[in-house]
Amino acid sequence: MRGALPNWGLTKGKGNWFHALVSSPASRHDQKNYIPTSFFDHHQKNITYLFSPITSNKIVRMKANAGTLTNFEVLDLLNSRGASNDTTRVIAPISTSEYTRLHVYDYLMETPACTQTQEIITNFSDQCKYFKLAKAEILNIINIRPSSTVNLAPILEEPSERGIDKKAKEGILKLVEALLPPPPIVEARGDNEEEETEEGEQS
Amino acid sequence: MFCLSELEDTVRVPPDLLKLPLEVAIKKVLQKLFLDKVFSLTFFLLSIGLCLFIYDIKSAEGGFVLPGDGAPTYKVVFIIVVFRPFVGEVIAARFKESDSNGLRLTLGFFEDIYVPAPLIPRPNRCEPDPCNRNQMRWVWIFEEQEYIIDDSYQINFRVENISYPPVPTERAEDAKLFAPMVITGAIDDDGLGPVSWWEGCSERNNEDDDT
Repeated sequence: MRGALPNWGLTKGKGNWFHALVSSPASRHDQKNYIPTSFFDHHQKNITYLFSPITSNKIVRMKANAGTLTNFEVLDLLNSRGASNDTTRVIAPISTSEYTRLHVYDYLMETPACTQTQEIITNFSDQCKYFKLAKAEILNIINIRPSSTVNLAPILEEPSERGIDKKAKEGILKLVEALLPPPPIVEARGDNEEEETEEGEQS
Repeated sequence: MFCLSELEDTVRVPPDLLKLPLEVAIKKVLQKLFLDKVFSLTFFLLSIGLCLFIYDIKSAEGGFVLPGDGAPTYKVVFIIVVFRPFVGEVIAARFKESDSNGLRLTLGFFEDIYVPAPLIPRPNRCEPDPCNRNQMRWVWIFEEQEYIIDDSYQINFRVENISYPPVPTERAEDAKLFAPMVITGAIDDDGLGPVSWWEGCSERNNEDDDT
């Protein structure tokens, strides 16, 4: 088959695909009949065909972007699935999926996302419409929570050309100040520090 | 930086998992297949990104047992949460290491974020790190003040590019572990770089040299 690759689900050379696609038993039984010719139809609105390398070379049909999530929403998801259960982390050996989830959880707890709620975010994005910001910029602001004009600068794209002047920027910052809770206080790590220092959360 | 991706795949559920409720069994198989893997298709330059966890199973149909096989196969439509930042996104990361080519930042769950030397604010200089093994340390010189880049504070960077290098067919013995997804970041703009640089900053630093 493919030889011993490490755990990276990537495609290999083109040569294997067609042979694999045609000869795979799953493709013959497949109701919708994914034939190799449809493989080239990658312009079809967001639906594309991928090579699934692990499960014996058949096609994975996908829609790459079914919605963007803010950091808070991911944190919420993790919480609702019990990622915050600290005791089990130390005692039980954890599987790979748990490992990644814990890392993501740890990362998100240090960002402003841990003090936000769904209402805050919906409220904020509604109010942002007044400033005519792009969706990506609103997402950035929610995730980063800029506290000054200089923090806001890398988020806004071409502000001068879009008529976002200093006053508008201040307006955005005031909105951030009013609606989004301040981020948690993360203690600065010393140099060469491997251990995570204690994080204090603002209630 | 996280997205939902909807995928459809044919999933084979091994018989020993059949005692579990179907949804749980399928989730287990999917987790093994997709978690922690980066899916990309360099042929068409499309990608999903780093798959984190299964969000939901939309539908599972089929359950046919193929001849010669003991396990049922389901056609499953499911949604996964993936880590895939967009170009231009500002992300808070931690410093990991640096060398003469630039910096390397980490998010804990993702460690292949590189800031090449040209995207570190100039003027700067690179010097051997006095308190650290064999690393180089980058220092930004601004208005006669020196600002060190190290791991004491969070570093905000902007995503410039995401690349998915193809799997190498051969690897040298001491080569770095292969990274299927590499993010190139920039910290040479207002508000980027270690957050300590901009704390208590007033309006006068608002030079807008955004591209």
